[in-house]
Amino acid sequence: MKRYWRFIVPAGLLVAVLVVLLINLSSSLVYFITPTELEAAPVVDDRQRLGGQVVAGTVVEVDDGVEFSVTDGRVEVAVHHVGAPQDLFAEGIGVVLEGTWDGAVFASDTMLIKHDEQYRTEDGQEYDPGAPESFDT
Amino acid sequence: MTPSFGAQLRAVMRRDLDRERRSGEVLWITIPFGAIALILVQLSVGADVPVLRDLGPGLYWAVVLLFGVLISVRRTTVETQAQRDLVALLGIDPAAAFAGRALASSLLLLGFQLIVGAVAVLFYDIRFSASGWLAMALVLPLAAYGLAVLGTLAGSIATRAAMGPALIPLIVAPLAVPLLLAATESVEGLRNATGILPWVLLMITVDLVLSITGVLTARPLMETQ
Amino acid sequence: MNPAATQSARRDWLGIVAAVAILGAFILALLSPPDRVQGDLTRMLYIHVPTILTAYLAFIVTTVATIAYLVSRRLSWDRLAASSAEVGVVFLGLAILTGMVWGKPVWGVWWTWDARLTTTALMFFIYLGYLGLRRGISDPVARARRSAILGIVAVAQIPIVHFSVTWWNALHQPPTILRPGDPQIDTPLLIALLVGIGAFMLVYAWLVARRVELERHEAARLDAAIDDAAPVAGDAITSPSLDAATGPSTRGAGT
Repeated sequence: MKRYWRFIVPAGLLVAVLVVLLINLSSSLVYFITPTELEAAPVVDDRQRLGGQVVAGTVVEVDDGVEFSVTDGRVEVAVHHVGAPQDLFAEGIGVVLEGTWDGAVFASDTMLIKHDEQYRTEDGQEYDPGAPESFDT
Repeated sequence: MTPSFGAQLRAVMRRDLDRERRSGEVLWITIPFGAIALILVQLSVGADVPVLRDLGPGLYWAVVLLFGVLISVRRTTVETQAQRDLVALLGIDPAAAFAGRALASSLLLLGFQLIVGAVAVLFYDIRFSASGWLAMALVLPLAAYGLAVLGTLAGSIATRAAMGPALIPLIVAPLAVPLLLAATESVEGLRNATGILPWVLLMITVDLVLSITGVLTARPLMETQ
Repeated sequence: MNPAATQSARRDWLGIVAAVAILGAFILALLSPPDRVQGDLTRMLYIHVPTILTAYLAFIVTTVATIAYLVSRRLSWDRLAASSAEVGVVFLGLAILTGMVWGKPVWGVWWTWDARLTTTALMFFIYLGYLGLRRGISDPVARARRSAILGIVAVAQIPIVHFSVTWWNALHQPPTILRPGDPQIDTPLLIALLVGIGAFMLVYAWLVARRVELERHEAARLDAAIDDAAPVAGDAITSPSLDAATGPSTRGAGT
């Protein structure tokens, strides 16, 4: 008598449940919040991660680091980053910053680069950095 | 006349609980070990009360997961082949044997959770509202049951495997992540008052699916012992 | 024997083809133009992505072979499942390592706890558990049946890992090729990547073929040992124990 279904049925159930449930567990595995989320539910003085795209024309080098704004396409947040920026830091690139929000400026001390999924050659005309909506998840 | 499924289940469960009552292994060895783990963490982190209060619930669940596995696989490591053969010869329904072992383990795990939980609340200064304590009365048994079923399942998969006692935690720990997440997030939900309903539902679903898996695979697994 | 000879000849050819493909992929990876943002760092793409995709393939093969074993009860399927999982773990480990090497210069960290990295690490340990379980059970039939549940359930990690970057906002970027819509990569880079993926999968096929052959030899040796033991007087009283770790046991009654 073949009983292989005894393995396959529960295993299939497990797989389906895990996949469906984990999709809905969006809160616990979230790595960073977006500027929109920061504005909607501001948490002052607690360390948090903020992700967004560096707004072109806002990058200013200051004595102890760099100042710029990040956006998710809807809301811009001013950032003061202490320390040297990452090698790939540039206008239009995605960054994830760790630090605190005082209600006006996000004071960051750790910068990670979040590059997008596009790979383009130097002469390729297709690269389009102006898609900050990728942060608007 | 063959005893009913329920009677077989109760007999197996009573056997496992009797074994604990005589040996006192969970009460006098595993629980103190879990409590020591919490104290060791405090020593290695330092006596910063706000930090400990933040870390407390997470540490508590990690200890419950790691040490709870030891409780739920205990049977596998102490039971001899002769005992397993006897259960098979007696004609006990494998599903009833599985359910009985899982329920006995859940009770032992719940006891572990309560005592170690009291230690965590005292030492780490964890605070809840009254409704929070009520919610924990729901979360703790659900987590205990899920871990117990998972451990029993892993135990029957790894019965007679060389390195069994070391192997089973390696199998259980990654698969217990949904339970761990649900448990820690529901504590977090209580603190931030964001609700624990989705996490309770997640635990109920995981518990149900694990139970179905265990009952359906009980016979084929017993046949290969 | 003749069939065995042709089989090993075919396997050797597979090895040669895989080696040539790897060489070709290596040259293409070096010749392909640098990425506009990442520059030469982007060449890690041609190693990192093929390793993880090969690991996915290996674990899917494990699941399919496990189901095939449960349906057909032929141990050769189980040997394929085991071999594929073993090779898959190696490729998954390589994917994690190359990801770290790539992450340091680009992101700025070796490791971070975002959803993609965390679920990938979990997948690695789940399959280590699967291999550990197989290592612990010596009876081939018992091993095949006991590990079947894990072999099937563990594959659920693949969609979780793959879609983790879509479901949760993570540091890791979303998929470039396996995504709805056009691949987000220029043609010369895409060609180098696809050749890399093909080459790594050929290497996987060759490794699995070798590993399955080894498993087959082991099983044959085990069968021969049992056959040798069969006619010895006294076997009827104590059945031979294949399980060295538990020592001589009185099993056989009732199971």
